[in-house]
Amino acid sequence: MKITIDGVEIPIKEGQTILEAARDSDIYIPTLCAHKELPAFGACRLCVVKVDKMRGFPPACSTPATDGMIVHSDEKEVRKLRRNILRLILIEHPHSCIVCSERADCESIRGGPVKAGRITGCSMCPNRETCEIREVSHYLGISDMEIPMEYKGLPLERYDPFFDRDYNLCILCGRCVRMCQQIRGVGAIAFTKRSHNTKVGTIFGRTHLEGACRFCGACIDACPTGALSPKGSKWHGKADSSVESICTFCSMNCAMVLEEKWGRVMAAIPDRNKEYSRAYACVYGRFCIPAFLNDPNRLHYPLIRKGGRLSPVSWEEAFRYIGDSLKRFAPEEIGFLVSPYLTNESAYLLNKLSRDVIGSHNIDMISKFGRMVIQYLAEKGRASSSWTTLEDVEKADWIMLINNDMVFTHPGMPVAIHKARENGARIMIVDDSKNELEVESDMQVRIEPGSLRTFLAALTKLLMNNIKVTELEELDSFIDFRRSLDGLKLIDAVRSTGVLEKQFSAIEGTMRTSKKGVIMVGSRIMEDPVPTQILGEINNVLTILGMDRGFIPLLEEGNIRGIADSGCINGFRPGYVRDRTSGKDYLRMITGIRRGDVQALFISEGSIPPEHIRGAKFIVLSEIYPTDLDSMADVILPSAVFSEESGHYTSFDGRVWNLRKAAEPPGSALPEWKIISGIGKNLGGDGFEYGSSEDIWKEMEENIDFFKKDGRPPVPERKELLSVSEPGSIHLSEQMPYVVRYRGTPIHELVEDLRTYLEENDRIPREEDESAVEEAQREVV
Amino acid sequence: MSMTGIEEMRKISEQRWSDLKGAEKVAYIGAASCGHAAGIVKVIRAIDEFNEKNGLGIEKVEVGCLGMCSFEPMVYFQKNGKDPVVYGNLDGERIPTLLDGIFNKDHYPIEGLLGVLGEGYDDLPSIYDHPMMRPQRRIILENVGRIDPTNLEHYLANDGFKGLEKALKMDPQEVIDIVKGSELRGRGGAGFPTGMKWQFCRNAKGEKKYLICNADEGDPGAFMDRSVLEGDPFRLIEGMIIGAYAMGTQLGYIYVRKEYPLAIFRLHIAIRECREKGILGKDILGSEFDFDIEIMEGAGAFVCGEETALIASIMGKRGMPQPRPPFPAQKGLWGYPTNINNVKTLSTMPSIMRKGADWYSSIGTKGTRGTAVFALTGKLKNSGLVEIPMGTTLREIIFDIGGGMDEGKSFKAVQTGGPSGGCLPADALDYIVDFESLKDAGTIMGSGGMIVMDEDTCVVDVAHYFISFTQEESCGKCSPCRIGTKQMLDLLTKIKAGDGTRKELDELASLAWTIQNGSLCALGQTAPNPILTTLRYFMDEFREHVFEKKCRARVCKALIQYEINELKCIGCGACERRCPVKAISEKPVKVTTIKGSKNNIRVIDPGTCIRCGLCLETCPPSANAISKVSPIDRKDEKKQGGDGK
Repeated sequence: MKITIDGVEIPIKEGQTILEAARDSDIYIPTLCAHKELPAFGACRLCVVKVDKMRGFPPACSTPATDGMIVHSDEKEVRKLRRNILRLILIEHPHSCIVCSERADCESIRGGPVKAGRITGCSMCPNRETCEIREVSHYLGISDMEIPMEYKGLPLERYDPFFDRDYNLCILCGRCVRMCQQIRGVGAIAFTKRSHNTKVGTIFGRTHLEGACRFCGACIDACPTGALSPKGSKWHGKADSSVESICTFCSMNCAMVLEEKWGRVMAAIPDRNKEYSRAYACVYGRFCIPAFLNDPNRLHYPLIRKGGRLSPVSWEEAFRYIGDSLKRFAPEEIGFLVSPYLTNESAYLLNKLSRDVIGSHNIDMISKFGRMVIQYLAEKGRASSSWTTLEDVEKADWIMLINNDMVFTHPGMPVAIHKARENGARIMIVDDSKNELEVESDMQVRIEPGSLRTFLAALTKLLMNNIKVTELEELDSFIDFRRSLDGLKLIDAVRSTGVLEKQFSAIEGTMRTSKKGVIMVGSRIMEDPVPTQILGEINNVLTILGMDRGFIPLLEEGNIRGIADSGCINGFRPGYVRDRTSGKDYLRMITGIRRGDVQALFISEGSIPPEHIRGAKFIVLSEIYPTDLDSMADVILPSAVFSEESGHYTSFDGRVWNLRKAAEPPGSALPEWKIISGIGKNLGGDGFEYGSSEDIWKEMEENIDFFKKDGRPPVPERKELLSVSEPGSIHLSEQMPYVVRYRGTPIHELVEDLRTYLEENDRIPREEDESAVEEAQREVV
Repeated sequence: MSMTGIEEMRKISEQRWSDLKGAEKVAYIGAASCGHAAGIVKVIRAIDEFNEKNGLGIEKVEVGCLGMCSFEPMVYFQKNGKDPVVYGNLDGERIPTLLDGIFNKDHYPIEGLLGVLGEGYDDLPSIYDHPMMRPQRRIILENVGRIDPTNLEHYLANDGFKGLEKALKMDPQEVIDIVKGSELRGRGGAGFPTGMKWQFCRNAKGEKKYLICNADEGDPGAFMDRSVLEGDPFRLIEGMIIGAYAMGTQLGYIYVRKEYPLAIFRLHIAIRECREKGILGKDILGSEFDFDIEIMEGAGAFVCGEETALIASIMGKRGMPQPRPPFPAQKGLWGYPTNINNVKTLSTMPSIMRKGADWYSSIGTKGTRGTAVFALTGKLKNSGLVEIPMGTTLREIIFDIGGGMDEGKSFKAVQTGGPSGGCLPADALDYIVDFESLKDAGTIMGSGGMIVMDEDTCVVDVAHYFISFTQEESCGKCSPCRIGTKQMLDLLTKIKAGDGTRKELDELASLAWTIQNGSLCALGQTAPNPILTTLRYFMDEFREHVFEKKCRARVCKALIQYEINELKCIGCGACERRCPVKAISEKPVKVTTIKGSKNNIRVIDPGTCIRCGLCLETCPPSANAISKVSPIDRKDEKKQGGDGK
């Protein structure tokens, strides 16, 4: 199929609009409201064209391209209409930077924008270098304005964290509103008022903080003007360089473009060229990366404790000192606690250092929920095969969310869920406390705290009543399972969960409709004394439904999946090959320290509670910021962060991402793999001679099946049934809500705006509360 | 209820109806919103009082409005089973003498008598011979003003639901074929062939389909839909069920503006009544066809009359138009195929189904069949709601039905189609009313508003008024409409203030073109029509404003002055006392009044005067000393005078 635009014949695809077809063939049609990720809106009217056999001037953005259509885009009347419309738009938008006759000369002299609160003049706009209105004006040749500008005189909105708003620059293209509503599913902003008083605003004019805003920044990235601008990077102007990398703050690993200027990462923008994850970037990735990474407190030099004081030394000295010190301990006395933010390469080397060079099999991840889940899956032989992915979520027919706070731990995930819901998925929330996503769901059940096991057991029983499971009856575990179910009375379950019978059957009925479902579970199940029981009961449900996939644990830490893949998990070598020699896992290492079995530790992040490692004789700590553990460490090694090294990360669903270097590390800080190589070489180990992290990756790909292309085993069938627990409430252990962190440091500790946002949402205690608590304690003392 | 059920009910209804018609003493009360506004409540109270005092036993029946607005409040009295006699311009005080005359003395007082609602008798003329009624052909308004709108029996007795019964016996496609054959065009304004529209919706694939009745009538001066809703709601329901059956719709919405509380109230009653009797709901009249109607109240946005904005509004979203395609017939309410028709379109259906396509297509002109309902307002003698066959000339409507200009003024312009339409001058009065002809004239048929203006109206002011309306009602989505209408308004304000130049006139024309061709929805696309037509037909008046700084209708305040005629002023000082800005002062010229006292005459200081016109109102008619003048005329006169010397 083809259409002709201004005499040029171009191909079209089924369902494309004229604008989309033109874009695919690199034909420019000016527009300000159309956006690749959004459906046609038709507000700016700049894309008007003439089409043979059609009346008037149809807009290219919403007119479907049909075979043989003849379109005139560069035609006298069309140009005139567009110019007239753009002149109208410019009446509402300060435009001295567009129509000034000295413009070209002026801009060659004045580089960056002038910092100004209110943007009225030519060089005050932070968006000047990337402004789309200027682009369109240039194309249409607007060089004068007969009608004077009408400055709206609206107050500046600068009281919210992360971004400023100056709606005097707004041209009401509606991209921000549509992004917020249609893509992010939040709807924090909308059009308010009407006629020329129309303005983008929040409900009742509240601040974004009080409103529904999740500060994902999608609105800013969509804005064609300088009306919305990020506080952190608005005055930096254009970046010197940029690399395609990822955000590593949570396990979704959204693709980001890291922008570098003056040797530092100054902004991280969602990578819009990547189909996957361009829409998912959240408050952490969009706004916190530069502020978090560029804090002046970053560690610059290796430190060794000499006479009780930490003093800076050279890397050679540090490596030698570590090598010499470790040799004093027996291999089984040395433990490795691995940060789930290391790259796959670094984790692979740590595994090599620990298991092959030193001979210690005491290696585990620093994590609670992720470690528990991955260990469980690895034991069941399900960790190595491909996991349920984000695409599965988007295409699911039903999604069940169990005990999670994904709005704060995985803010990108609700976007996928919104997309799924738009595609017709039924969203069910099963939670024992408030879930922010309740408005986005079709069914919500609030279960009594501690009754999740009973809920799952009752659900299992209902499913068993309605599904034939002849194949399962042959399993050994079936008799016990059946018996445990027979012991469960639905009325008891209703009583202890607080979920009505009809709610049970509604959920059960929905789950039975399709095998394209997803159960997501969050870290709040760790409040249960035996969380693996819950995983087992979820497995029961999926087994009965005959779903081999469909389980997503919301892993928290950035690369927990990757370091487990690379061998930093107890009992498994890289690629989930069983380790023949047994070692201690995290908890047994902690008890080992207390007993004196474990004496030396290599720790790669400072998030472990100090009391856990008290008693260890020698502690090597590699980290990026000073932490509470510093006072106990014998050696502190400054590590590079994800924007300062190259390597690979694996997201929660097993997708492998390239990490690319955007800036140099501060001082003499080194990437983790170089640190480990240095230690390894000093311990006399072979195979640490790498030129770059790429060499390590090649070695991994060559030697380990798991990392080869299509090297992962197929998803095994679910063939295990676990006896369900007795109905009733379990006593839960209180748990602090998870806060997003990197290498052990909570992001909000270094990003003031994030602290404000999390405080407002009660994710962290308020600062004044903390001081009040301290004061109260002092009084008691 | 089954078909036989309705037959039985119709029999009962007919019996009751004839009982009512044969009753001894009945007062039919015009109790639509217009009646209420004109003071019908006082009339009702007076009737009740008189009735009670004299024990007459008059039965009261509340009916809709006959469409003779200038004669409200109206009551028709029926005596001894004869056709009722219509009285207009009533007030509570006249009721006792009137009732006494009719029911006690067998004498119909002549004052306020309009005619017999039926054929004339005993020297009483038929109301259908009244100049306002004679040229009319009432199809949609057939029952309006004749029956109790909340009484299903009245509707049934007047051929109600006969069309539906007929339709339900047919194949849905046959129903659409009849509508196609009738050549009915949508009465919402655009005039799209209804049969075709229904066919689109019928052919569209979707597990659900919706039918929406657009009753969000928002044009200034238009009240056709309101009258139908208040006067004959069952008719609309019948039309909707026919449409739903033809298109295969399960649920219908009536989107009615909240400013019509009485219409909403009566619709609710009518829908409930229909549900109870099995005319709405499951298995309608035993046909195994299910359909129900919900009422959706609009929140006062003019733009919600636009299809896509209306759909968004029903879905709880901001009422903003969407680009088409997708058309509502493909993807409308909640994403399903949706058909939207105007109240009048749907209300025509019962008659078409009952009397057939050929009957309907025999009325009207070649391109536009049927009748047009107009809300005739403005500076006319007889304003009101009229239904005329298509093809009637504007002149007939204005001068025959409307009775010509009020107070002996001369005709200047007529505006049809509300803010989307245009102003036509006297030259255009011989244009006939149909979609094409009015389009040729530069205006549109619209949904039926017709505002007549006399010589005291300034066309620049009229254009300014309509643009200020559309400007305010623009949803703010697309730039040409949002910004362009504001610019046009500013230009017109400038011209009205006497600050216009040739540049402003040129800019007006250019803006009008941009908005017309660039806007997203019909609101924007038609917003410049009042300006385009006034520029076309009344350019000389614009030029006067711009080049001579003169407003010939003496409306634009910046271009007029108030003046006291020294020879006529009696020095009473009433104007001085009334003036809110103290612009009037005494002038040491004495004048002797009739009573003999000597007063100083008054003079207005044009610099202080704010042209509020209060002095003109206050000046005693006996003196009539104050007048509006164009300062420019004064100068001319002086100049001429000077030359003469």
